[in-house]
Amino acid sequence: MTAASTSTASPARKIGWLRSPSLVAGGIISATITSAALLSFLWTPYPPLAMNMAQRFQPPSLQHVFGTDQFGRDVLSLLMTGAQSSLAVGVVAVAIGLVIGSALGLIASARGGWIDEIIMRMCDFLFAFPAVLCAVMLAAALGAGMGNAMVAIGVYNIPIFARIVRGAAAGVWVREFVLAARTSGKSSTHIAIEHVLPNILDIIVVQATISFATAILAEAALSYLGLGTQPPTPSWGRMLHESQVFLSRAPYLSIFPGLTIVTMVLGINLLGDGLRDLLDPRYARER
Amino acid sequence: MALLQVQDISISIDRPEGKVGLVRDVSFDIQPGEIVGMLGESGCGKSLTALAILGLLPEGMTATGEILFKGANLLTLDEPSLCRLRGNRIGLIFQEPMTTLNPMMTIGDQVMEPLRLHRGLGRHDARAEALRLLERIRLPSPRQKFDSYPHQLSGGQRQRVVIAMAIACKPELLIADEPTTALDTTMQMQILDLLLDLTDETDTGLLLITHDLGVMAEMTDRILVMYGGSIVETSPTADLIASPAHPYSRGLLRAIPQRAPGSDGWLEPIPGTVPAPAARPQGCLFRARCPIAIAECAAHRPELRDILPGRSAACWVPIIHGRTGDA
Repeated sequence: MTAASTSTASPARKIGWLRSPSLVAGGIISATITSAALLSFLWTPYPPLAMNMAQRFQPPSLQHVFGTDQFGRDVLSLLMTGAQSSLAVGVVAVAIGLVIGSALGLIASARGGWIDEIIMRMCDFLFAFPAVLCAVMLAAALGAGMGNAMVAIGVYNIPIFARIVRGAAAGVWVREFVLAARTSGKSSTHIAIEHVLPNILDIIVVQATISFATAILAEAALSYLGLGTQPPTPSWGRMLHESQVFLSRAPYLSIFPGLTIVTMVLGINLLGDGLRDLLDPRYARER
Repeated sequence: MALLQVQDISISIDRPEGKVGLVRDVSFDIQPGEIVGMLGESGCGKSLTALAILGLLPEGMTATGEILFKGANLLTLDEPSLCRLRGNRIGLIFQEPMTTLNPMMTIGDQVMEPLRLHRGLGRHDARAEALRLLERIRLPSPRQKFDSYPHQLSGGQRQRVVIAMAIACKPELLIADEPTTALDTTMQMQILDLLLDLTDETDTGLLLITHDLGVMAEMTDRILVMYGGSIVETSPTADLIASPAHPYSRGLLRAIPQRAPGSDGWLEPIPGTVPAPAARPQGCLFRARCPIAIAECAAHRPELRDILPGRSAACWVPIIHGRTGDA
């Protein structure tokens, strides 16, 4: 009986999935870059850190698809390896912001009153420090490095998620089905998790993709300042940073890391858009 | 003992300019198996009274008085105890089936919720019981609908689901706040029949809130007429329909479209509007709209008092047997 009813529902879902171009495009882009990052653990066209002074500043060719940098390192190999740190920073920073921020926002909207006030003023306090400043402080306290960059960007994301979740949840708390859930005897905690959270999931997912994109950019910026990924570990941001000196001599050194960042950010944003539609059962029918 | 005894409930809201009374000294009771109707126009405090019974008044509103459910005062119960009552021993059905279901949850999950919450059923048992419930409320092809989302159901089907949720734990008291207002007429009768059957089967007390006098006449044993936050008349249904005692009740009856032979087809509207809660005048609230007001009506607000056996009205000059009598 369960099987029968699921099978009648799933074709519609499948069609909806395929008909969402942003989900497919975003999924393909994100999956490609993620698998390149995973592949780099096992294999890269050249050892990413191997310098070859004879092969410096090679323009893109069949041997070096994206060319070589000032040390003769293969740019494609560097980008693949760099994806590891960029994706790791994105995932961890978003996870920190999403989990803590959403929890705080949900609590604030559920409890209201002074708890709400305290949480939101704390968020204001965090908002007062830009991510870079936050990272500078953390780096000063704990030393520069990728881990601290992740934490700094994550902490910067907390108030963003808290605010968005609180605002969206406030709109759900006054909906009639929440009152209906109360009349069936559910506690506030229960309602927050079972009724409010699913109804704001689309907003959280979209914010997560935006934050993921900005986290990659923030990591690039921090690495640029020397506060993120430390040499020789490659990262997209640091490659962009180091290549700017050679912008007129070897523009492809800037172009490929830049394009990679743009593509990844675009892919993640498309994926978020598609996921939002997919998560909402009301879209399943219309698509 | 009465199933529900509401005694002198007053509800007020905190405003910057002070407390504003919304509901004033409402008292009534419901016996097991009894169907009591609450009649009145929008904003007269019907829904607030219902929410107060469940302890779910919006923030900023407070209720005073006593609400005794099987002898226990609901107004003094703590939140966990109220949670155990709501949806378990007292069920509430809302007006708008379009918005009272969570759009992100399947029908089945929503019907299973009260069963799992109050009766501690496991997923498997809850599913079987929920399917039985959906069959009982005559939802067409319940097995297929079980995994549907609310938007895939029609308004009438959704209201059936809402009813299934409300009756899932076999409550002793059911409050239906305009359960059919959002539905078309044929669906209305089906839903009301369903409610009648269900209350009959289990001896559930039903408080039916509506502004539809036709529905009232069909369904209820007794009617409470509310106006401006107070009860202005309470009478057995047949008596009220035959000879309304309060001029407001009479006005409501005269404002019903009649298709009976011999009627000239003209409706008689009640002139004027209900005074706003913050601007309630001294004396009777209905005075300005009342065709038979006397000097006393402006000076003092009439309290609800017995005018005939089983009937009471809050009026200085209640209409008894079609004639205006002296108090």
